[in-house]
Amino acid sequence: MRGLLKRVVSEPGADTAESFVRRIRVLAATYTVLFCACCAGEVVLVVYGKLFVTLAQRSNVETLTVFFLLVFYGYLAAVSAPGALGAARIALHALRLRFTPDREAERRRQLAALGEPGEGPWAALGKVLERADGEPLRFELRDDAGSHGAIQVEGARVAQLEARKDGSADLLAYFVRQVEDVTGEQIPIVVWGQIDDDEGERYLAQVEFARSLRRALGSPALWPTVLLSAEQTEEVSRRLAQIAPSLLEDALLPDWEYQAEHKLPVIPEPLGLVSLGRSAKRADPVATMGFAALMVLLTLAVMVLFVIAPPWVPG
Amino acid sequence: MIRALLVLLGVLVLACIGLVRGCSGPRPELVSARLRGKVAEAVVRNAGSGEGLVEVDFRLWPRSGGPPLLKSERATLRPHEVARIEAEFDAARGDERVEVELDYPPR
Repeated sequence: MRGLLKRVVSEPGADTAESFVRRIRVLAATYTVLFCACCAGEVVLVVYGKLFVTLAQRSNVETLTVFFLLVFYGYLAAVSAPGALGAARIALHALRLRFTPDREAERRRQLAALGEPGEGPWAALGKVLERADGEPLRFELRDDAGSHGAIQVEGARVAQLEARKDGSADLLAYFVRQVEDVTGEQIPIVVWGQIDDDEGERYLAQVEFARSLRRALGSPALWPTVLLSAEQTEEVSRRLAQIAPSLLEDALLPDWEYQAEHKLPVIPEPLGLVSLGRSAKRADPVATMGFAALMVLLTLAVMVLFVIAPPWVPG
Repeated sequence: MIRALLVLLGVLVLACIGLVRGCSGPRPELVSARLRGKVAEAVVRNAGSGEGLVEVDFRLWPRSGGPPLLKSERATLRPHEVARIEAEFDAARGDERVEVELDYPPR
């Protein structure tokens, strides 16, 4: 169950290079569907406003629900608009690449259009990652179009540096999953910097304390540590190189980072005696925006159904 | 897990179909409208399989111009029923042009 939730909610594109690329396409489609559905919802509410107000008044539903849906669709349309625009740009880029005689030059131009690189996302790992030979752990992300920055590991902190358009948290999830795969060690991501940076900094300070103490004592590692050999580092680099070309498309989509909480009230409010809950430290935009798109499509379908076949209401 | 979700989805779809079949309202359509003396008459057909209260708004427009005479009637239509709904206008001359609007649900 935990693995399924992780694959679907927290890190949907982290398993393989193919799933990383698939995630970008799914996310682009999700943003587009969400934006279009929200706009359609606004139009339906505005055009058939009288019908919905009448239905609300006659069926003991608050008329404010209609206004809530207006605000809800408006908010989600605003959130998904950059994603829909990004998806359109991805499609445009793909078209240009198909018809251009010089693909490399076109890709370089597209990468340059993303603007100057800046600080990317970071996360804190449950274990310290180090190279066995003591060299710094840094992985360049580069393809024929140019540089997409680098992933740097310092102790338990993993960060994307010189990232385009704020980088991608799912890239870090992919990196950590590949390190797990290569080393055979479980390396959980315990804090996401974009979601809870204070908690992350506090945790990393403790890790640094343990590393400093180890150096001072000259003892074996005090904090759980995973050592990467030169071959393992090379393998991780190779796996990162597989996804480097798709980082350009990934950078065109906004990276909305949220926590997720699922609650099931067994005895609902106002008693609220028993409720079941499950939370995830990070919910990938594919999960959050996908769920939002699902809800918008569901409410839109109900509204369209009410327009086509109005329900029975008391006289 | 996936099988349980599929079963849940199937149950939801069936419930939705049942809800639409059992709880839908009427779909009133105007068949004809005319004026007989001081009585305006509208023949209304329920094109839907649901039932419910519909509102019929009559408007009589004088041939010589001026504001229309208004009257509203409500009637409960059964599934696929064709009904004749009348409204009496004391002030009508009998030569007005009849305009009928149907509303469901009644505003």
